[in-house]
Amino acid sequence: MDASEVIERSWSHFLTRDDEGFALWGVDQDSEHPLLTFPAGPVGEERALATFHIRSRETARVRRFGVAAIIGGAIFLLTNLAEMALDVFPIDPPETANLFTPENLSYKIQAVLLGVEGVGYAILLVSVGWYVVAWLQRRWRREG
Amino acid sequence: MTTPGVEPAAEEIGANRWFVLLRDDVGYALWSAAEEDDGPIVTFPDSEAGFDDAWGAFERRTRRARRGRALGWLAAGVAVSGGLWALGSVVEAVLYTGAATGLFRSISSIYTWAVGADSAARIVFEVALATYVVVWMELRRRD
Repeated sequence: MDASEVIERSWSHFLTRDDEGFALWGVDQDSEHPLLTFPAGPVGEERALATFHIRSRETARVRRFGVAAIIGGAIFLLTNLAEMALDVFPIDPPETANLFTPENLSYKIQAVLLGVEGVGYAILLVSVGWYVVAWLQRRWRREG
Repeated sequence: MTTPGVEPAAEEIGANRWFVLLRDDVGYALWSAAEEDDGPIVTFPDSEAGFDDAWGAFERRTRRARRGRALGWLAAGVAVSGGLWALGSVVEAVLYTGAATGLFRSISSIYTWAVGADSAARIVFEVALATYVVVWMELRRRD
């Protein structure tokens, strides 16, 4: 890769060009060999650029779903912990602590926590599902 | 069927909506039916073994393309139902929280619909996802 020139770069891949043609590399790859090579010339360049953009987009999509799953999981976990904390450390006077009425502050907080928890749970599971499907779709296409 | 960039003397051995298998003086060449102004996907020598390999590649790639379409539909089902579930959860949470904190007064019918739609989307999502994974593994095993 000494005499090669980087012509495209994303956070996951980069594309180089030298006298022999084009080579697609992964940013995190340990190997000294490129993921794919393409012949020099306009057809090779077109294929190389198209493959570079497709692979970068697919990898970005998978990572986005992974990040969303982590965020959803964190929301779900934190709201659950907050609900437990509310049970252990009540914030209402002892005489009204167990009354589930809208006037009760802990009831209102619990309602908000439950709502946020439901959203976090949905985000977690949906993101994990999308992550799995995006990963498998990517693998299916690459195995061609 | 004409394929851009193909010599006129090439003989069509097999064709479908995804691939075209051609034979010329040099040997066999498998082309994508969709991509234009591009070279063949793979070539094989003009021999008996070359024909067997070419025909095998044509059939295998066609089978894979057909299965890939089924997987695409399932993936779309997962994407849409997952999005509806997430959206329904947000609506449900807003209505529930609003009612519990006194922000909304009468939400019972809307809330019931939101919960129903949310649950339905969740079931479709889970079934589509499980089906996708099972089908993917089964198709790969057959490859």
